[in-house]
Amino acid sequence: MSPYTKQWSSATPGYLIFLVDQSGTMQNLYKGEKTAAQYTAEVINQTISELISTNAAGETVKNRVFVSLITYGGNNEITNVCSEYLSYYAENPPKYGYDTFINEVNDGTGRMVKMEVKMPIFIKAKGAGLTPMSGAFGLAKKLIEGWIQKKNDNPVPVIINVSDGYPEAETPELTIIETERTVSTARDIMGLKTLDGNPLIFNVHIANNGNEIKFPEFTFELNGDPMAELLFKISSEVPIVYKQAAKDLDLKNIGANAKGFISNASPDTLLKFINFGSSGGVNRATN
Amino acid sequence: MEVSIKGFIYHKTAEKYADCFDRIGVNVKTNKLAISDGVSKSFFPDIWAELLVEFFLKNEGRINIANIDEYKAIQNEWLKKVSEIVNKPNQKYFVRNFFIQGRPAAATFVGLHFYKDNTSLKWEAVALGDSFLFFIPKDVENINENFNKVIHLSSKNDFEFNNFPDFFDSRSHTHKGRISQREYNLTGGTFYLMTDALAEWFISEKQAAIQEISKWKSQDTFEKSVIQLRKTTLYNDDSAILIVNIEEDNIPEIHYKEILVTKLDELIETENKAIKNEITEHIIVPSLETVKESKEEIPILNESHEESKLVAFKDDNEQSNVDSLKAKNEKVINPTIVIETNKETSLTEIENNNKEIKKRKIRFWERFIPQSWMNRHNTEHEFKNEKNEEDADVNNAGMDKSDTIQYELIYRQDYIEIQEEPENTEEKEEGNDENDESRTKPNDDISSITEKF
Repeated sequence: MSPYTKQWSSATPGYLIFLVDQSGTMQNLYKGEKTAAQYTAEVINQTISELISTNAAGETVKNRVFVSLITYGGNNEITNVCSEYLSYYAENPPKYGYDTFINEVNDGTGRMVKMEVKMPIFIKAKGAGLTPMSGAFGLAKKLIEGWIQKKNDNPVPVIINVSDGYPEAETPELTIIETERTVSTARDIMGLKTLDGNPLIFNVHIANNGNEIKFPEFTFELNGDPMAELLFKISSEVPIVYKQAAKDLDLKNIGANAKGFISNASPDTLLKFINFGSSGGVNRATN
Repeated sequence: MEVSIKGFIYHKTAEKYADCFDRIGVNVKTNKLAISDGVSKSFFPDIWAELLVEFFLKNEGRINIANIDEYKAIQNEWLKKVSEIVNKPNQKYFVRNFFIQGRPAAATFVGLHFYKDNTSLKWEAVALGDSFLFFIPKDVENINENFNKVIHLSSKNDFEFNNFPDFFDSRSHTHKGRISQREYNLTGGTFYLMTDALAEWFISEKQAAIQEISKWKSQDTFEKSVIQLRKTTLYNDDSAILIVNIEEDNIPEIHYKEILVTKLDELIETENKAIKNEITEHIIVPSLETVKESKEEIPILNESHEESKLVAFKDDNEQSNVDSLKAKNEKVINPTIVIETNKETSLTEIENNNKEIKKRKIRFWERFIPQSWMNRHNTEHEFKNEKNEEDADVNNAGMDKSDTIQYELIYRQDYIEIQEEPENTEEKEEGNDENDESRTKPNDDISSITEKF
């Protein structure tokens, strides 16, 4: 079987890892009155709800994917916010409660009735301290190694890393070390092997400055930005099934060697990119 | 014309018949057959697919896809059925949310109808989405070389399959895609109506597929074949097929020779019974003697998600007495709680079962353990320190010391776990990040996470 064609299913669940930057700069405004931390959390909460929706079978949710929410920031804090199969997210009270609002709907008999909509909050916005990205990838690597030990015949694990910056430690010297560790750990992950191919890493660097670069194929497209080049290095080439997902999400007709990386992503692109990364690729898996 | 029909249906690997969103149906009175595939990403697609088939089969006369009133009637029926489910007490938030958000069901569809037009027999068919009808005339022997002679009907313009088929929508006034409809004179040959996974395989394998299908004499042979094919050329998706063989016999009427069509609701019923039986077979009722002789054989010590176990406890209203139990050495525990596995069970179901079991275990052990033990602090240190002081209680209760230690260990472990489990409150207050227990260092978490894989 060709690589990256295994389908997310109850028999062969996928593994999706969100690495979420919660460093101090994520408190900067990103979309309107919302900070980068707030908007990112909102998008990830929506994405998990959408995954629940697309894997719901009536009143139950199929465990077609295992989801890890990992944050990094603060004083070298790497936090496993939640790591569970999808049904857990659907069927247990979310860690941070619900946002609620009222909607009017047809009750099935033609009458309009008011019903309360509860939007679960699985991850909360936070931003403080530095950017210990290598630690986040380190945790992801160990989790993926554990996953592969048990699920080597499953679809490849996918990491979606959302950050407004780059690896950063207390001093310039330590930042260099942090950067090198990030690169080597991410490359280690991309070197792991499953029967469906190597684990995928998709990076999105968020910044609402209008200089967006989507799915670059070559470093020269990055205008000499060394930090963008760093995330480019640790991003996987986009497999065919994901290219179709990108196209369907109106992201871009991406090139043959395109990397799963967006530099200076706008809020709208961030939402699409996370949908792209969490799609499991467009194959006939969930039809 | 002599018509023979076979129809089979099978769910995805690692799922159940109850999870299957494909539907098939035949009505010999109206000479109609239909197949539908509920799109799994939509909202209650199984109900929608079933209604589409049901309404198509029951209507007499020619197919009329322009009948908007009927389409609305099917939609209203879907809305009514789904509303009843959504409005059940304690319904899960995501089910209510999806309903409130107006999420629809979606389903592909192929319908086939035999009818008489003046003196000639004809067939007409309608299709939307990536379910297919193929008709192979009797004189076409090898479709590898003559695939252009195979009549195929679907709303797809190509043979490329993806996650975004055309479909009938349970809420919108319009459907996605263009409905295909055709009619022909009825001649000898074989119709194959199939949902997308089988259709894609059929298009790919052609004559080899025909040969494989010819072996499908029963639901059992169909399932075995599908399981094998999924290892190589068939996608793991719900799979349904209707095989309709037409033999020309010079009689200008439709008459049915053999009909063998699997009924999904019967499969689901059988499946549910099997699950129940499986549970019953795993009932293990420990006598007190068993408990005493071999703690490894005590089911409540060996609960796991992998093994089917039943843990049973004495009825709450019935008072027990250790001495009398020992004397009788009888099975005193009435089975009341079941954990069944060997099927996909949500973690929540398992956790809730375990929680309930632990609660019942506590109630059970409390009858064997002196009250003073239950009231004390549950730490290992205190347990050891207080042990000597409580030996008197053991003697008073008429138990062997070894028994009571065993009982207490089990009781204490479960008691602690129950006490530590947070209540399932609907709303949780926002956590204090500084004290949030999730803010643990990664090394502490890794094994606890990987155990869940």
